[in-house]
Amino acid sequence: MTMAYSTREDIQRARFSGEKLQQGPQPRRQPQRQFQNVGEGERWTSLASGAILAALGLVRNDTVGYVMAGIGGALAYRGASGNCPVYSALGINQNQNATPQQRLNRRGVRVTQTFTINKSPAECYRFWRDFKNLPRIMTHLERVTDMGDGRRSHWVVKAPAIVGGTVEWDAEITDDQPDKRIAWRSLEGSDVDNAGAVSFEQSPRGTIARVEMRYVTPAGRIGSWISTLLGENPDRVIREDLRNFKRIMEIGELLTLTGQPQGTCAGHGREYTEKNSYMPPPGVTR
Amino acid sequence: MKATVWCAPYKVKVEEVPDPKILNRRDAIVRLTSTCICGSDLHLVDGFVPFMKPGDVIGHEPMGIVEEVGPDVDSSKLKKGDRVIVPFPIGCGECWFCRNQLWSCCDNTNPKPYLGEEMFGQATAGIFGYSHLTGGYAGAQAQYLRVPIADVNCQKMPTDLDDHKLVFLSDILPTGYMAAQHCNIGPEDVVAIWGCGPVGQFTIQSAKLLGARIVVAIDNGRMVPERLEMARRSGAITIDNSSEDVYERLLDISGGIGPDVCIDAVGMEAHGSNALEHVYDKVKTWTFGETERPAVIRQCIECVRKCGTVSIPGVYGGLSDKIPVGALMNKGLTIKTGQTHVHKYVPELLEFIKQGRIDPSFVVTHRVPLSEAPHAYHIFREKLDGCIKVVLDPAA
Repeated sequence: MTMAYSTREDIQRARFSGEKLQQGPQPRRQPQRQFQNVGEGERWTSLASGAILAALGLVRNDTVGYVMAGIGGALAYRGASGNCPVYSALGINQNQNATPQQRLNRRGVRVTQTFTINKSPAECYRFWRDFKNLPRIMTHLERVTDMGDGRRSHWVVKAPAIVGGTVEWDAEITDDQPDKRIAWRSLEGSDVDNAGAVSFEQSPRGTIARVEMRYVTPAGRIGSWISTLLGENPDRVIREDLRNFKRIMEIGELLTLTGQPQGTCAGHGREYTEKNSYMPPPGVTR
Repeated sequence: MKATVWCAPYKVKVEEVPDPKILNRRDAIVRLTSTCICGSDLHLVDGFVPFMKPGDVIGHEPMGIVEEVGPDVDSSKLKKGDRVIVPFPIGCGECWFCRNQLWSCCDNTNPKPYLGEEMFGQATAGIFGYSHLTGGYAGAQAQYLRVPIADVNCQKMPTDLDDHKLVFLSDILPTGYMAAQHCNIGPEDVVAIWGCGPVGQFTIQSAKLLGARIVVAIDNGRMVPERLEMARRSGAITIDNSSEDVYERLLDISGGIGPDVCIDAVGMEAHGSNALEHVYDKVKTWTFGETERPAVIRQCIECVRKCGTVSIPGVYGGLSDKIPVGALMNKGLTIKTGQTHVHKYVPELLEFIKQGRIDPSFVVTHRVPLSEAPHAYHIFREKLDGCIKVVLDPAA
């Protein structure tokens, strides 16, 4: 598929989904007017707190006060206009009227990881292309089932009963180059908008596998559960899952520690202390 | 089963813990017949290694008999009843590092690589009983040990040799050997070794075996005269750093050039070459200005000849201060170091033992029941009762 691109978002999306960028001169579009990127509730909070801060600053009538007034003014403007320059610099959009793809591009969490795997690209591709294998490497994934047409699949993630027991979505393959690259993304109506791509490249040390995954944490209970699940460092959880791919390919199993012996430190064992619970044997001085 | 458990700095207990079970399909359970206390275990006891949790079973120098194997263990390589030593680093045998004999840098066996990546940039292999930085595997100062990827990690041993001749193949003999071996020692060379503990003793023997002209051993003659005596018996010239100037003596011995190879077999808890340096490092570690006391590395870099090699088998874990990089660069030094790639060295060292060219059992001064482990830690740490190396007997 070839399209004309001009905005940064379009180019990002193209890179991510593996579409070829059209070379040559581009019809130059007028710079788009910056869209509203602050959520409705946040706008009112921003306006009110900005106004109060500005007022307090002006009452102080000293240097600190003027700084406060400046910050308050900026907050109030951000609330009134619905546009936050900081959000737009960071590519964040809190205004929820967007398509899944736009949400992914604008404020998706992006995790990438690269491994060298001592197997051929064909073996790596075969494992990954059969999405049913993915729960073996992704610890939170319960199952992935094929929806029959070879392109669409149904993904189920274990979740607590409070959010309905599972989080689910349908995904479709957007790119499939045997032994080279697979990309997929979730379809409209998913609990969690997400997308991913994995590519394989032959190197003298094995196959270099590059994985990229993106997701958008939704609002509400599912979102807060996902945040709890992935902790403060969602990158790490996803990266460890992806690292499991290398382990499964190379050694065929994931080494576990669950169930190994562990002491309690509460027993009657003898203690070693620096203060010498044992006297030195006779004739030996410290 | 009985096991030695780390509870807090300076607090080690022998406790009754659950027996290990086969958890992965390539696991094996080894009933241990001998298991040792390593000098590096003292770094755990002294609280120098972060990422320890109360209740962790420690120890990483075991040998024993295979008691049970998982369903996917290659039966042509390992079966029930085999007598084995277990190297302290856990290898997978498949990643690029293992295939290139760099076993202690295995990519796959550390289940908690994110800790290593934050500390070191990249994570190293899993190690038995040596903090969660190296995976958090239950250790080997116990009656039984679970060995992951057992057909790769259990090294079969002959049945006609004594435990004390073989058990050190799990760690300190290859560690001493690698420290000397990767310095390309030649027949003209003077090799100086700091620290005459068990690893130092094996480094002395290895340097001799590899053809060094002169081997010099350095330690404190007031605190551990028996270790210097043992080094002399192995044919080393000894320097007592409590009464002699190490730099002057080394220059003299090497004809004013400096030793070709300097080896730090001490590690992170060195006592400085003088009181001032020691106090400096103590204060820096207390105030978290550094995490260890690198006095021996400093002295190695100072003493080694121009374009010589500094080898570091001693264990370090964090960040050090006042490393003389100016001397390092201007003198054109080579640094060789690393956790030992034990699997690589086991076959050739076993051959040396069979031929009688090395008899590692000479370092053993104490064999005590496993239940006496806290006492053994005490005498080993305080150098009481002439203690150089303790072997624990899990069956007694």
